[in-house]
Amino acid sequence: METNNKKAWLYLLPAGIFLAVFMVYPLIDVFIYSLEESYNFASQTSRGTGLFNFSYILHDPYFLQAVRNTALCVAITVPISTGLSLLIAFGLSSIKALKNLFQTIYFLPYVTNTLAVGLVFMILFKKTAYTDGMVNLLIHFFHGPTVDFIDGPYWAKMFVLCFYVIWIVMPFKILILTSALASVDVSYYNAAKVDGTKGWRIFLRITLPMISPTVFYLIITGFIGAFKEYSDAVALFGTDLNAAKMNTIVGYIYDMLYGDAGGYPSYAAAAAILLFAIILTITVINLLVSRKHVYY
Amino acid sequence: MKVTLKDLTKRFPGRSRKDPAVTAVNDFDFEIPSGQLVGLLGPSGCGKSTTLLMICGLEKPTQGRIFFDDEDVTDIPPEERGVGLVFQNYALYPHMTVEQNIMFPLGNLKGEQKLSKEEMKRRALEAAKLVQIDQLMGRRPKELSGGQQQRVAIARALVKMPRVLLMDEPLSNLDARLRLQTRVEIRRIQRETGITTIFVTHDQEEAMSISDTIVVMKDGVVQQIGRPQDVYDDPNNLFVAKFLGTPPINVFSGSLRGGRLCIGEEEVFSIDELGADFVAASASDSADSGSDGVRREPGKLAKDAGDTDVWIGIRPEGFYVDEKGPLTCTLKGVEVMGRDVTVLSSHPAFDGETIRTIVDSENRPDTGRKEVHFRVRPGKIFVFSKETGERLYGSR
Repeated sequence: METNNKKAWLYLLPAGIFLAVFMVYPLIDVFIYSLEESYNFASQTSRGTGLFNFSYILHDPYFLQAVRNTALCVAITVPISTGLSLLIAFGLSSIKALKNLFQTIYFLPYVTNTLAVGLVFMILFKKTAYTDGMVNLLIHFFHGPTVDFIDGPYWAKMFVLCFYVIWIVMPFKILILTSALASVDVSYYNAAKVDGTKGWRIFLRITLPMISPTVFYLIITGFIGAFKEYSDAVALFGTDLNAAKMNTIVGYIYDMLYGDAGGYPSYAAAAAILLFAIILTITVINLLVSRKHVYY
Repeated sequence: MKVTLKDLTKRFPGRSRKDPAVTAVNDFDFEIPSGQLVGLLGPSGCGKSTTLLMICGLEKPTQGRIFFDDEDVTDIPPEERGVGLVFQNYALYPHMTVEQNIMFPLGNLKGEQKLSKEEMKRRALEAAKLVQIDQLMGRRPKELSGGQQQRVAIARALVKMPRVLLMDEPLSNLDARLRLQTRVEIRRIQRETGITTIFVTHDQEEAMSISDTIVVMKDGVVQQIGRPQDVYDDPNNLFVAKFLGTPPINVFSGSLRGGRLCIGEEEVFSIDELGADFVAASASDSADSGSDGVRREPGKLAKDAGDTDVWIGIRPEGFYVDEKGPLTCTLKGVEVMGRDVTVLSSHPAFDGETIRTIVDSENRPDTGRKEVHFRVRPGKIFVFSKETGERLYGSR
């Protein structure tokens, strides 16, 4: 038993070392940075410890803007993308003809590069000297006014960002939900049919509870993913997100580290810790809610 | 509720040109009297489940009609037929409690039929009491044993008071002891409710023990329909004879020569030995088992009948040990069962390894000897055609 234990630890060692060096140590380090005032990489010195960094970023309008943007993005994209994916997956599982074709079409965004998608969205939404963009042509068709989605009002930019995020996260969700729906035993549906259950009631009372663990998984990972939103915003609005008022929390962290105004690892660390706290809180709330509504 | 099936046929289309269409059920023609417990019996792939699903309405027949009493329900969807179906895997909703599961069909009722919550609970409790699970109402299916789950499934099928109750392999997911218990239970529930019940099984013992009527099927074709004892005593063909009974019937390769019955090369039975009522099969057929479409001329085993090769089937309980008996077998051993004794022996013309015969323990053979001689009881020996498997002769 004793030797077995030693062996087990030995086998775990390589993975353990990697985890310790690249995961655990940086985590602790970030936490320490966040408490050190004006830490300097070059001299490895700080002016003292305390909550100064947190106080600073919580008063930084750019950070508050980033938090607002991120929260809005999460609140809009997670429910819509999950709901739409569920609808599409349900539709896919109900049809027989061309099912594979549609599955492929819906999965395409997943294998497409973020920046390439960003380019396409530019063509769709960006207003230039030569054209107002495809979407504006559509708006004109319905006699609406021109909207500048990329450099225009805040709500227009937020709309494009959310549209983009929803579009890019859906393929994975559809894929997972389609397989979850396929795994529901057909005899449940037959039993419901014999009992005269109507379609909507079958969906709410049987299908949804049966796939609830998968839906729950997608909601949790959806929340986490949306909170970490950054690259999509860059693809749409360029690297100077603060100027576009479209920065996100992760974008703020990046700017603090490497941006034009960068070189403030302490602020970046404090922001990262706050992001971590927010995600943790939301996930715990999710878990508590799921106890009542998820059936394993 | 009387259930009538008229020329019922189900063909599944083949997937490709090489893969021909499969006829799962072929020309099923049968009337199930009201209030009976009917067992559809056959090996897997014989079309019994497809028949059940067609009666239920989940499968559409390719041809033929289904009637409940005088109402043609062939084109009516399952929910309007008033059937209850118990699935092989029970299909209990895992996220609902027992009570919610049983109440679920009632929740689908609309309009005038709509029930209050109290009425639904009352009806669910009534159904639960009938299958004796009323003390488990708050549990989830996962927290129940297989037998209890089975009862919940039956209660859920009964709660809407169906006109016909259908069960797909109701006992196959239970262990041997529970199976015995549950089949008695099914019989009791059916008797108490008086609902016409049709169940599917591949276990002949199960079908024989509780059914009022059994329907033996093979390759989508009905082989025989009748009361269990009648089908056992009077099988239409070799398949039915082999399918019913444990231990199974002993089949010998033999021939009919000049009015004598030979097993292997030995002439073992004369007509006189077999008794006067050893006649061609259709003479002893009851009226409704003649509906299988096979016509046989009635008549006694004629002394001048032509020589034919036949299968000779003798039920295990049809033997008794007699020094002067005409059938001589090599003794392999004796298994003592208490009241009875199983004699194991072999014979060159036997179709298989070991002949199993059941005799009274007083009638047991001398185990010191190498040979055992048997006589055969009248009524336990059947003669089948080697070409078609149809029964040619048998005593009644």
